[in-house]
Amino acid sequence: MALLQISEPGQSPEPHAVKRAVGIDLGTTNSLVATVKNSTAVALPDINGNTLLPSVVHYTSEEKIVGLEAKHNAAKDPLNTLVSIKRLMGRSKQELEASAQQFPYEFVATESTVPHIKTAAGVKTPIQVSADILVELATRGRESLGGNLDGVVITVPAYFDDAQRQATKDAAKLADLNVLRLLNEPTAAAIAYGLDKGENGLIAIYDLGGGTFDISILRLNKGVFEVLATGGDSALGGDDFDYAIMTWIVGELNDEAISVDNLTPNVERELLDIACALKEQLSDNLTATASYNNTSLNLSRDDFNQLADPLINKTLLSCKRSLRDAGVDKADVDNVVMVGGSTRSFRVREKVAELFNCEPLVNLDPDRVVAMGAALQADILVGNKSDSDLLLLDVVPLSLGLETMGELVEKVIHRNTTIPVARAQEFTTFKDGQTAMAIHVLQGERELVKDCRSLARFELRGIPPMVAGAAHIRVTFQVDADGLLSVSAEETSTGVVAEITVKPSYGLSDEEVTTMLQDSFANAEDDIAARALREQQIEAEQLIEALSAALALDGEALLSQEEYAVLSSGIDALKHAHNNSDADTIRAEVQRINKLSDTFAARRMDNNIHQALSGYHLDDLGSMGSDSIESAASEK
Amino acid sequence: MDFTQNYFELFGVDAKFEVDLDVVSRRYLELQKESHPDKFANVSAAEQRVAVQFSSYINSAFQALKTPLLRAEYLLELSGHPLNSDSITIKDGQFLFVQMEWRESLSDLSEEINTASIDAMAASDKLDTFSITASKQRGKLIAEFETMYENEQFVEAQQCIAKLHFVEKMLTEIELLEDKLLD
Repeated sequence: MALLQISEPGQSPEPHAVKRAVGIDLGTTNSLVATVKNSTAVALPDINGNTLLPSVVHYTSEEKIVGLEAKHNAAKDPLNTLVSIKRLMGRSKQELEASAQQFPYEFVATESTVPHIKTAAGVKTPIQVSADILVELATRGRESLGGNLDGVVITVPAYFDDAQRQATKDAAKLADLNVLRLLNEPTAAAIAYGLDKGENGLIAIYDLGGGTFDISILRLNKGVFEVLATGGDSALGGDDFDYAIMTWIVGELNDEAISVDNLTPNVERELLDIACALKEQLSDNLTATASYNNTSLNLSRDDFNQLADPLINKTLLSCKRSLRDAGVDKADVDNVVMVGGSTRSFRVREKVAELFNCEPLVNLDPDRVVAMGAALQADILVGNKSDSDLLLLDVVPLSLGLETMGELVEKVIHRNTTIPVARAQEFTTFKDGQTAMAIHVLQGERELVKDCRSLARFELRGIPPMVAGAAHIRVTFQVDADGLLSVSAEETSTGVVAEITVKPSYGLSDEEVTTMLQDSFANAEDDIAARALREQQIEAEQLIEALSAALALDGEALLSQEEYAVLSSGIDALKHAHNNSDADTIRAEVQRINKLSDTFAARRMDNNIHQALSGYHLDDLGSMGSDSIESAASEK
Repeated sequence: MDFTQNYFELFGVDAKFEVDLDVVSRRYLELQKESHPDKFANVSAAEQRVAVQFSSYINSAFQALKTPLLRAEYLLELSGHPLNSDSITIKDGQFLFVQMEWRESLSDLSEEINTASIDAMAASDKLDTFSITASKQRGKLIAEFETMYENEQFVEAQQCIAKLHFVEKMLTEIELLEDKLLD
């Protein structure tokens, strides 16, 4: 943090000096820098007039090259040309090794958890590579503003976790920049359109880039921006549109020698370039033409729409999901902001307008809008405009929970909960005399432990031996404003305590977050089936145990020999179903046995107090829902 | 920053079930503008921790005040009658019976949806009917709670909220089925 210079009142060294501040959009594919000139945000170009700086760094033994030239070297010198480095920010070596995504770089073994990449210019971390990109952008800013920068605002995706934000901040530190604030990209886009000037409003930010799609729902309330929900697809973007058109071209060529599956990289590149050109023509024309190998290609808007609609519909489904997460109706959305080059497509605008039933905002350059918003915010924070009191309330990007019986995940803090937040949940022991409890902390939306990300495990020991269900274990989750989680567990009757600060050294990547979300949507059905099976199995286990115990206790006294035999063979049948069947069969079997044992239960109840009747019903109802852990334990 | 204030005191509203959500929302933003950790970026770690805790407290309070079920439970807690699901047994056999029936009908419908033996539109209409019935029951229980709480019939008020839990769970399940139908 730079020290502020304080002058005597009324004796400011530069009475009306405007401070130099820029906003930086540090993107996966391209980066930009913008500043405020004459109250307007403008993106700053390089000497060739390009505002977009490809986020690519090429390292040689003599020099490092950043941007367009580096991008051209990528094919020639892939090991020393680092692209899409943003995907590596805030990730550990172990995570990269475990990830399905392939990185063509040569990683060096070090003590550190941060990945180190071997290049001709020495070993580089993702933080250093990002710093090199930032230096290039800051230089542009300095040259344009005529002096050192007083402060910068850097944008990050709304779902970036703390480790990723920290890595971004570290890169800025390396680049010797004074970071005024890390700003969420969708919020920056909203600020660029001046939406923060309004009183209240609900804003959807639709960001379709080259390879990623993000949707964010923001609420503005008197100068406070609140991220209500974020969603998207880390593997869907303009490139997919190009690919779809390419597939169409291959069909048009009608050449047996050319099929989509066996294109050489060169031919594929060539065809993709044609596809991209056709797509861009359609933004201004009703038909697009090109030719390849003397075959002329005519793509009409209708043809394109047919190719693009399945892809666009995927983004619209993400939008709907986010609206639901945000708990708002699409009719309540006041403004839709379009971000990312792919939103230039006429069809995308049309379909988005149709979904939200309002014309999306498109008059600012969709590639620049995030950097422009960052510049406006930097201008405020650096002190050039002192009358603004913007406050951004952030949310947890992925649910946090605990493992419970049957390898199920019980969510403690749900996705999109406003942070900071503290939440406690009570659990109890499953077995008589249980003296320890394993606490397994997980992150993700899925129902089963194996599908979520394990954040930490710890044990609460020294629980005094009690009957199952008698101990009260209170587990507290605290998430601070940076998204860092700490968990503590306490047995409330004795005060036995255990706690842990969960800080995965380099956190979840945006990739992982989005993929995990995506998986949870795609697999929601499988999950429900898997969960249903588990629940039915547990219910069957409980019934077998309860009924066996009851038979042993009162069976002979209350049942005829015949009745007794029917019930014990029923138990055997249920055991068989439990081991060999799907949820529905087990459920049917459980219901059958329940019916069979009705008379027996009634006779037992007659022998007991009335209380048992309502107690039975309550437990029975309770165990159908999420309270199954407690009631499972208390039925024992 | 005063952690001893209860949620109602913190938000400057009367400790009763009916609250003015506009006042609560406005006060929430004021409180967060004063206390959000972002406003304490340059102070000591200890002070920052306090800001985190207080800001969490404000978030919990806001959540409790704006959600009817949570608000009712918090009122019971304040009155010394916390709702602990282990110790509360619903004594209303009629209510439990109706709940069972609802659940059975809902699970039949779920089965029909799963096996696609019902037209999506018809299923949606049925779900709407369920939803309306459950919402009505929710409204009724909330009104009952309000009266009982005002009259300091806390044990009866507890019963109301225990019942409300069942109805809320039912509504969640209806919503899940709706999701399934729409996806």
